[in-house]
Amino acid sequence: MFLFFKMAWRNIRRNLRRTLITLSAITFGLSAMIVFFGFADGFHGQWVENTVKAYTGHIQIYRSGYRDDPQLSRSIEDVSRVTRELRSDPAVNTFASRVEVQGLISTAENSYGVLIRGIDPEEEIKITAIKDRIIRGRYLEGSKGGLWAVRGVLIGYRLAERLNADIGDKVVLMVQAADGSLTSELFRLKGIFRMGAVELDSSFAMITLEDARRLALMGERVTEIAVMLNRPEDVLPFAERLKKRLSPSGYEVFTWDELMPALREMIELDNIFMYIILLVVLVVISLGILNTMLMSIMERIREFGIMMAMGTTPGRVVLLVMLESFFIGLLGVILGAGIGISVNRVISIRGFDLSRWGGAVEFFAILDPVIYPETDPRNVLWSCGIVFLTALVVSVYPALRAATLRPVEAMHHA
Amino acid sequence: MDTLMRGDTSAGIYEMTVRDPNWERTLRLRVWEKGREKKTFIRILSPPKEEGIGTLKIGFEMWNYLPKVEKTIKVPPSMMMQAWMGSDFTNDDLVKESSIVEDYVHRVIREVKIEGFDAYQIEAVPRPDAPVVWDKILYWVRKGDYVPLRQEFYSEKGELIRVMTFSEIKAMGGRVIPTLWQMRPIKKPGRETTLRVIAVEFNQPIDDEIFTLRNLMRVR
Amino acid sequence: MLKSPFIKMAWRNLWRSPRRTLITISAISIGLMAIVFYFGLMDGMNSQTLENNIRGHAGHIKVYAKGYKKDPTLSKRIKEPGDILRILSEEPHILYALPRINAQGLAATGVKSAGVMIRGIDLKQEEKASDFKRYVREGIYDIPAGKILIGKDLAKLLRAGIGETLSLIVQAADGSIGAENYKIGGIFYTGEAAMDSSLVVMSLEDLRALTVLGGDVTEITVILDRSENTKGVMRSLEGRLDRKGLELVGWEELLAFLLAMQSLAEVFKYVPLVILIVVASLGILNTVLMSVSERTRELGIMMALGTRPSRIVFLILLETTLMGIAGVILGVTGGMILLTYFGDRGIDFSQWSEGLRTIPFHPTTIYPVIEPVSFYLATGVVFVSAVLSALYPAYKAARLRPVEAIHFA
Repeated sequence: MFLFFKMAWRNIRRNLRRTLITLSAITFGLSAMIVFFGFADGFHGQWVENTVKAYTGHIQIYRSGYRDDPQLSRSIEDVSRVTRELRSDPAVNTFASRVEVQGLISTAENSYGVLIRGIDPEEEIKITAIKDRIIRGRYLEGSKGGLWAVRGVLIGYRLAERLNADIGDKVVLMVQAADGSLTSELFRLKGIFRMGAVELDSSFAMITLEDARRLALMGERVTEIAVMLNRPEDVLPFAERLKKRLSPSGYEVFTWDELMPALREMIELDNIFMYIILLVVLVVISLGILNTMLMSIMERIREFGIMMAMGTTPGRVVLLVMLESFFIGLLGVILGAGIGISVNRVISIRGFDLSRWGGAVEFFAILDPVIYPETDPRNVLWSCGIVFLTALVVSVYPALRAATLRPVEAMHHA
Repeated sequence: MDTLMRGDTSAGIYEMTVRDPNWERTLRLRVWEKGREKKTFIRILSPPKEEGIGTLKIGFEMWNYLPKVEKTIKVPPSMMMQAWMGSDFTNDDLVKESSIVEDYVHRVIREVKIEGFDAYQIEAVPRPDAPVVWDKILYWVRKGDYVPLRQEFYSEKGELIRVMTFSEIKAMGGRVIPTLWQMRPIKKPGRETTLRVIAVEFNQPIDDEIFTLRNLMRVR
Repeated sequence: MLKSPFIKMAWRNLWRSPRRTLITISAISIGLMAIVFYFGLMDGMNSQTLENNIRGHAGHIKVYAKGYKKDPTLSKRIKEPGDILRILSEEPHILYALPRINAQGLAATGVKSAGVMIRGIDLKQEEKASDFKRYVREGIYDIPAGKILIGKDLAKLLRAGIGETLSLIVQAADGSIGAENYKIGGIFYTGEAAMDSSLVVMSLEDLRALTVLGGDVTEITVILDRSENTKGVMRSLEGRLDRKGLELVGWEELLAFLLAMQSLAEVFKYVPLVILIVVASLGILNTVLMSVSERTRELGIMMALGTRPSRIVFLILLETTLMGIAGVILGVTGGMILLTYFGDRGIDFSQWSEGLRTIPFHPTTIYPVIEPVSFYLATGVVFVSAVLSALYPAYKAARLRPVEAIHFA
């Protein structure tokens, strides 16, 4: 048995250049696919993260029925109960409570309907990138100074344009409070942001959680809690756990793809196309290997003939041939995976900037052109397995050809 | 001045004319008011297209009733800044009319002569926390009886945004009041809203039943 | 002179081991077919998504009264568009000029109300011009007078269904309050949250009456025969329409986000091409190397007999070129067949992915269509790299020393 290994190994080394070229085809093919997947996964991952951070977080928790009918009366009352659950779960990175309410923003010249989001400024920057996206003015600070402190509001640049408002301007926010009455309060424009998403930039106004609660007469309540997890993969299992614990108490837990299904779908579609490419690459690699193996068999017809004349069974011949491709396949896969994963690692340190080829500056917050490849171990294992198997399967035909040689004829082959 | 126009109660008939570069409309209104309780009820008498439309305001809440579609609509915040019935008065103006006293600090600047009358020029600056968009409002009121003559609304940029003039001062319903009010938004050329007091009575008792949703939906 | 004997030789050499030649050719052709089909799928999907958006709501060009973009109210309207519609109908490349009225308003049921954007359209004309009809999931598109279409999310918000009554209230163009009751005749779902939650569609006449617009409209949506003609048409119309106080907005501005997303994804389209080329080239390299080494003696003899090394190189390259040509012809033919077959029938993705409908205006059936540029690029690159991969073996062959070569066992 061991003899076979030696023979196979020696055969491979016989024509080193040929072997190396075959090896490099497998290696390159696999590593290229891994890097390609890495880029795609990285792009998708970032897209999701950016969108999720800007809108919903990985998970959103509401009071039951709020999503269908967003009334302020359906708000989360026992916030600490929920936060306790969240704090105790290791999967949770951070969470932020919010009060969201529809309202009107007015300046002396103009007014527009907006979605007012009351945020905890400290908590919120752990989730959204809003602090980094302030283009004029400053970010919100937690309220200090009590009732007479200046209340700040942040709005998007598109809204600022429409309102013709500048930093420091007086702004009145009016909402229909939790008890149905209309309340309004004076705010000052503290900062203007540019998130790169049209909706956010044109119809959102951010104020502190405290201010929002007071404006909407919400007391200690909030309308939703957005949760960010440490790892995106944990979303589903975490959601399940949380649902079990919170649903009976009258809360609803939603994952980001339940709230924004289109995003998930677009990524799935992209992935489908990539699997198709993988398939075609495999076919072309296989054809290459096939040719190579066939030719190497042809070279050794005499040899095989002698072997079989001396008693080597056809089965053993098959085994021998397949061992050769086993080695090449194994080596190719190991190298390919190694190179692919390393390339992904290296590029992901500084990222790869695609902006030369596309995208548009105004949307960079959501469509980030700098890509950090991600290596999904499942994808890698999967690709390796398939490539390896393909290499083996492809060598079946040449192996059979060798095994079905007639020794006498073979030996006389020139 | 507020007390002058509001009083405890008032009930009257007004005519509102709105002029726009593209059109002109005149509405005839019947208005009841209980100033102290911040209740107002308005019924449109004419033209026929709008006849029967009612507006009820209690505190900071406002409802409109449209007989054409038989619906009562609670006015949401997003509609508050919209013009009331197409005029240059916003829903917010109607709702916040009495806030001028609470939300502002008044100061007499000087004495001038305006429209042929001796008047005080008063500057009203909003309190630091008042939910109003104006930076300041200038008033001119007639010396002696404090009948308002003119109002100028300024934004923080120092721009004059709205001007309201009061004229045709007459005695009516037991008081001396301007019967012609004109509101001109400076930034919207060609637009003007004029309110004319046809008849009004002050401090007569008004049935509370009028300020109910039930009454809103009752169209004669 | 160069050609005849060499081509014959090259050809004969190829068929000396038919299996090998065929496998190589099939590697080239399969790779090319796959790339051509993939490009077709990608290009098709992208352009269809754009088309869907254009036909579904944006149009190729929008004609507005000056100032409408900043102040989209009834006051900035296109008065008596008859003239303009005539100009547009005479303009080449314009298929449809659709007058529309947009008005902000309030929709109210007995209990709930919501701010809405009301759009009045010429239902019959728009049925031909846009494919909004297929987004109507419940009820019917051809609503009669007095009926309206609302989005799925709006219906949910207002708790209203087919046949129920909705009041629409607007501030009319003459300053009066327009209020009317309408029955819901259909519910649509586009996947685009903004539309599904705040758009109300009704007939042009109905909205005209409600807003007292007389004969005016607030916009004209222009649909062209081909998107490529947009800039040209806009330039041609600009002068004339500007004089009438109108302005034009092209779809590239209206759909800027979509375009940005697509252009970013373009990069990903070309990566598979590169991967396939490298992998195929390596395979061809090996094959040609081996075929050369098999013929070492023969080549040695040729060189000893006077064939110059450059001719040897030429011969090897020619062999590969012939294979390349065959592979390309097959690949192109195969690819074209695939494209034509699926280009007509389309590939219906919705059977594998119900969720596709949630992507706004995304085609559920994709018709692969390839742009000539992509096509020639792919073909050219594949062919050239196939031939280039034979350079090294050809070089090696030319450097053989005849004496050694002849004695090669």
